[in-house]
Amino acid sequence: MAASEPAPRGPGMTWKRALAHAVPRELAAEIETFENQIALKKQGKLDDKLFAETRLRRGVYGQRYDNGRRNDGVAEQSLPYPSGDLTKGPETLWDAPGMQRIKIPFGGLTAAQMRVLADLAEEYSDGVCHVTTRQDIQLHYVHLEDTPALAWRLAAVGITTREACGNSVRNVTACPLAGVCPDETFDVTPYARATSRFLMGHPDTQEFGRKFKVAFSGCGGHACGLVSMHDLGAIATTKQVDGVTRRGFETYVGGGLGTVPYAAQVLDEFVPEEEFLPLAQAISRVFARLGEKKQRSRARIKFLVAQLGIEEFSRLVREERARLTPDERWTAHLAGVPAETERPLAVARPLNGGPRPEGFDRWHRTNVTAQRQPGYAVATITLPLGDLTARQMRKLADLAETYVKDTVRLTVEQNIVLRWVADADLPALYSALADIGLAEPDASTIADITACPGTDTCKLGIASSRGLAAELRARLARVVQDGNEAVERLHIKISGCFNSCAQHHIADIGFYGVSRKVGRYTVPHFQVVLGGQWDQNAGAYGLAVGAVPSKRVPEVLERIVGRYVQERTGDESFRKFVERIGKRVLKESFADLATVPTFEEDPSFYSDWGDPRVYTIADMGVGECAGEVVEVGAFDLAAAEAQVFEAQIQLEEGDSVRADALAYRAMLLAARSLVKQELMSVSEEPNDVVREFRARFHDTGLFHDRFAGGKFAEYLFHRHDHPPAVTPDAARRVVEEAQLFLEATHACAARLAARPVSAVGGAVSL
Amino acid sequence: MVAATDDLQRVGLKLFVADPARIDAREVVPVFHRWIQTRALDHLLIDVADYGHLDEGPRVVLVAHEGNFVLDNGDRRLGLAYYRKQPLERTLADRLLAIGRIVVQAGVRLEQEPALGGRLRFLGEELQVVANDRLTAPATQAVLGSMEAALAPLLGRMYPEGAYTVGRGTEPGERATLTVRATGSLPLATLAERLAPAERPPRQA
Repeated sequence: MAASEPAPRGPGMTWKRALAHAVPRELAAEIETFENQIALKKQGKLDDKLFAETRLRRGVYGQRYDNGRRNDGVAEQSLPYPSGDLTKGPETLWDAPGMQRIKIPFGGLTAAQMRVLADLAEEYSDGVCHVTTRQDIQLHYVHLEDTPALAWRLAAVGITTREACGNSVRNVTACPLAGVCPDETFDVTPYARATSRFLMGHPDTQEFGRKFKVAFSGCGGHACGLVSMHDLGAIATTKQVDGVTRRGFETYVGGGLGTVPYAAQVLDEFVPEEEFLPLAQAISRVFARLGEKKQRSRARIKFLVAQLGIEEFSRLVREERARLTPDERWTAHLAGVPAETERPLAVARPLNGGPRPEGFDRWHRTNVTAQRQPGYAVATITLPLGDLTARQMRKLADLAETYVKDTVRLTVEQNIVLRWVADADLPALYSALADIGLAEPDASTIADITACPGTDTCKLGIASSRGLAAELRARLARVVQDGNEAVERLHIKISGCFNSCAQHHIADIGFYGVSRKVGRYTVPHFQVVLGGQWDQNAGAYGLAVGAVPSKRVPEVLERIVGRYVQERTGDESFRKFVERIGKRVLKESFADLATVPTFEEDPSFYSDWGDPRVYTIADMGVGECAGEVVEVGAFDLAAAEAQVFEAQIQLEEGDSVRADALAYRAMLLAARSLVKQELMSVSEEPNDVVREFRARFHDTGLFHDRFAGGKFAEYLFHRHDHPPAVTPDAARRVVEEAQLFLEATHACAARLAARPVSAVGGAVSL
Repeated sequence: MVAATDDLQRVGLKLFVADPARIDAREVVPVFHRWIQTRALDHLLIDVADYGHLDEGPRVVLVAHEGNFVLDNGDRRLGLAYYRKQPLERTLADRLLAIGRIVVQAGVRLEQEPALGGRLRFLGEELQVVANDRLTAPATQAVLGSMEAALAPLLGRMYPEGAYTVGRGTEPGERATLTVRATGSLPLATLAERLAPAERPPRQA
C-alpha cells in the first residue's frame, strides 16, 4: 500500500504531508476542513455547539471529567489545563483528553489497518484498542489536536472516522460470520459495505434529530445481526420470482434500546436487493423531515414509527421512494457481489490426531466455529472487556497474514474473529495466540461479559460497568470450566447507566448502573434485568426487577444462576425459566441482598468496583434537616418501587391494562415524594400531583438530569395526558418509562439532599 | 533523508521491576488515585485507567496532561514507564534528561509507598527508551543512532563510570527503541541523586 512507502522526512514534516499521496481527495478535503475548524475554534471564531457537533461527526467524543472538574474521593478538584477556559464544546475544555471512535463498517479489518490502529493507540492514546458493541474501535485519552494526524493515518489505509458519532448514520454492523456461516441465506457483507458508503455523507442523512443505526443479518435465527434493536435492520432472504431465486431483505424499522427499548417492526417482508438502498434513502428522508428535532429524548426514529404507526410510516416511505431521482449508486455494487467471496489463504485440511497444546481443547470447544466451507473454521479471539493492547493488535495482524490474510472482523460481543483458518492450523494458531496473551477461551459464554465504558471514561456513566465485568469474569471462568452447558450459554451484559450501550436489555441477565442514597452517602447500585433474548436477532427485551448494591452483584448473580441450575426443567432456556418461575419469586431470592451496611460497618460498599474512591463524595456533609425531608420522600418512593415491580409482574401475566395503571401510579407516587418535600399537603389527586411536580421540579429544572435534561419528567406528563396503554408493547414502554422515572426521582432526591440546608428548608411550606 | 530526531518530543522511558512476582499491578490503582488526591507529582493528574485484566502492555495508567505514567507489562516485563505527551523545551538530550528525572522520581516515590510494603523495587541498572512518534523518529538505524547520541548526557549522569551498553530494537513495526544495561546493580534512589539538578552556588554578595 502506498501509505507504507517511506516518505522523505525531515524537520517540520507532518502526517498530512507524508501521506497526502495515499489519501483519496475527498477524504483529504474532509480532514483538511476539520483541521481548519479546529484552528477557527481555537481562535474563537466558531460557536461551541456547532463545533461540538462538527467534531462528533468526526468521531471525536468527549470523555469523563472534560469539564475540568473531578471528584477525587475526598473533594472535587479543578483540573487547571494550560489552555484555561478555551472549550471544544459546551462545558468541554480544550485540553481535556477525549475519546476517538473509529468506524469499521461490518467490523471488517485488514492486517494493514490493524497495524495502523495499533500505532495510533501507542502514539496518541494509552496503548489500548477497545472494541465496541457496534464493531467500532475506540481510543481513549486522545487530545483534540492530535485527531487530524490520526485521521490522516487512518485515511491512508481506507478508514474514515466520518459520522462515527453525532446525529448521523452510525457504523453499519453485520454478522461477523457473514459469508462463512452454515445457516445464512447469503453473505450480507457487500450489502453492508454498500449501505455504509451510500449513506455516509449523503445529503438526505445530514438533518437527523438523532443518530441512526443500521444492521444486517444473514439469517433470522441467530443473534449476530441484532436486527430487532436497530433503527433499520435487514435480514437476508430469497424469493422465487418467475422461477428465479431473487435476493432481498426482510426489512425492519424503528427498533432501538436506549433508555426504553422498542422492538423493530416489519416494514417489508421482501425488499429486492436493488431496492434496498433507495428504500434506505426514502426512510432517511422521512426521518429527517418528520423526526423530532428539539426534544432529543424522543428524536430517534423509533418514536416516529410508534407515533405514526407502521402502516402510515410505510406509506410515507413508499411515497418518498416514488419521488426519488434514480441514482446509479443504488445498484452499482450489485455487479460485484458474486466476486466478493473471500479466498482462503491456506488449503483446507482437517484437524487430525496431531499433538494439541495444553488448553487447546477447551479453547476449541468455546472459540472455534466450523464454517460452511468444509475444512475451515472461524477462530474467536476473546478480548477481556473488549480490550487489546497495541502490541497484541500488531501481532494479531501478523497472525492474520500468516493464517488467513485479511479476513478479520470485530464482533458486537467485543471480540475479534479470524475467518478461514484451515482446521489443521488451529493448534498452531492457538499456540501463537497464547504467545501474545490472546488465547483465552470462553467466547460467547457467561464469562464473556459485554460492558460499556461506564464510569471509567463515559460522561454519562453512573456505576462501574467495566469494574463489575472484570470482577464477574474472573469468578465465572470457573463456571465454564465446570462444563454446565445451560449456564455456560447465558449472556451477561452490563451498562454503566440506563442508556443500554452494553445492550443489557437483550441479555439473559443484564445490569445497568444506578445509585441509591444511604444515609449521608450515595451508594453505587445495579438494576438487575432478567429475561432478555440474545438470539433470534435480539428477539425479546428483559425487564428490571430491582436494584442491588454494586458490591452484592456477584452474590445476586450466584443465586439467580443457582436457582436456574437447580430448578430448570429439561432443556428449558433461561428466558423460559424466568417466565415460568416469575420475576417476583426470583427477586425474593435475592431480596436480602438489597440492603447496604452502614459506612462504618463496611465502607467497601461505598466505593465502586476497581475504583477505591468513595462514591460521589459530594453527598457528604448534608445537614440533618435535609436528611429528614428526604426520609419523608423515601417512604413514598419505596411504595412507588413496589408498584412498578408489580406492574412488571402484571405485564408478564398478560394484563397490559393493569400493568399500565400500576406503572402510572408508580410515577405519580414518585413525583409526589418529591413534591412533598416542598408542599407536605399535596393531595393524591393525579392532576394536583402532576401540576405541582411540573411547577416545582420540571419548570425549575430541579428534576432535570444533567445530560438527559427533562426527558424523564416527560414520561409522566405523556402518560398523564394520554389514554391508558392497552397493547402489550405500549404497556411495556410505560413500565420501562416508570422505572426510569423512579431512577430519576432517586437522583433528584440525592441532589436535593446535597443542597445547603437553608436552600432545602426554606422552600418547605405546609 | 534528513533525520528529524531533534524534533522528537513524544518519548517513553521505562524502568523495570526487580521482582514482579511480589507485586500485583492492581495494588497500584489506589496509590495512583491517592497521588491525584494529594497532587503528589508536578503534573496535572487527571485519572487512573485500570487495565489489570490485560495480560501484557499497560496494566495501570495514571493519566496526566503532560504525560502518562504507566505500570507497564510490555514484553511481559513489568515496569514503570513514562510517556511524554506535551512538548519540552531545548534539545532532545535536554528532554531525555528531564524525562529521565521524571520517571526516576516517580519510581522512587512508588518504592516508598507504605501501601506496597517495600515489595516494589526497580532496577536502577536497566532502562528502555522509546521514540513514541513514527513520523519524527521511525525505527531506522539512523534514527536509533541519533537517539543514542542524544541519550549520552542522561546516561553519563546515571552511570558516570560509563559501564553500560546500549542495544537497539529493530523489530518490524515497533517503535525506535533503545535498551540500556549497566553493570552491577544500582538502587533507584542512587539514580535519583545522580539526576538531581545541580544546586546553584550561592551568589556572592
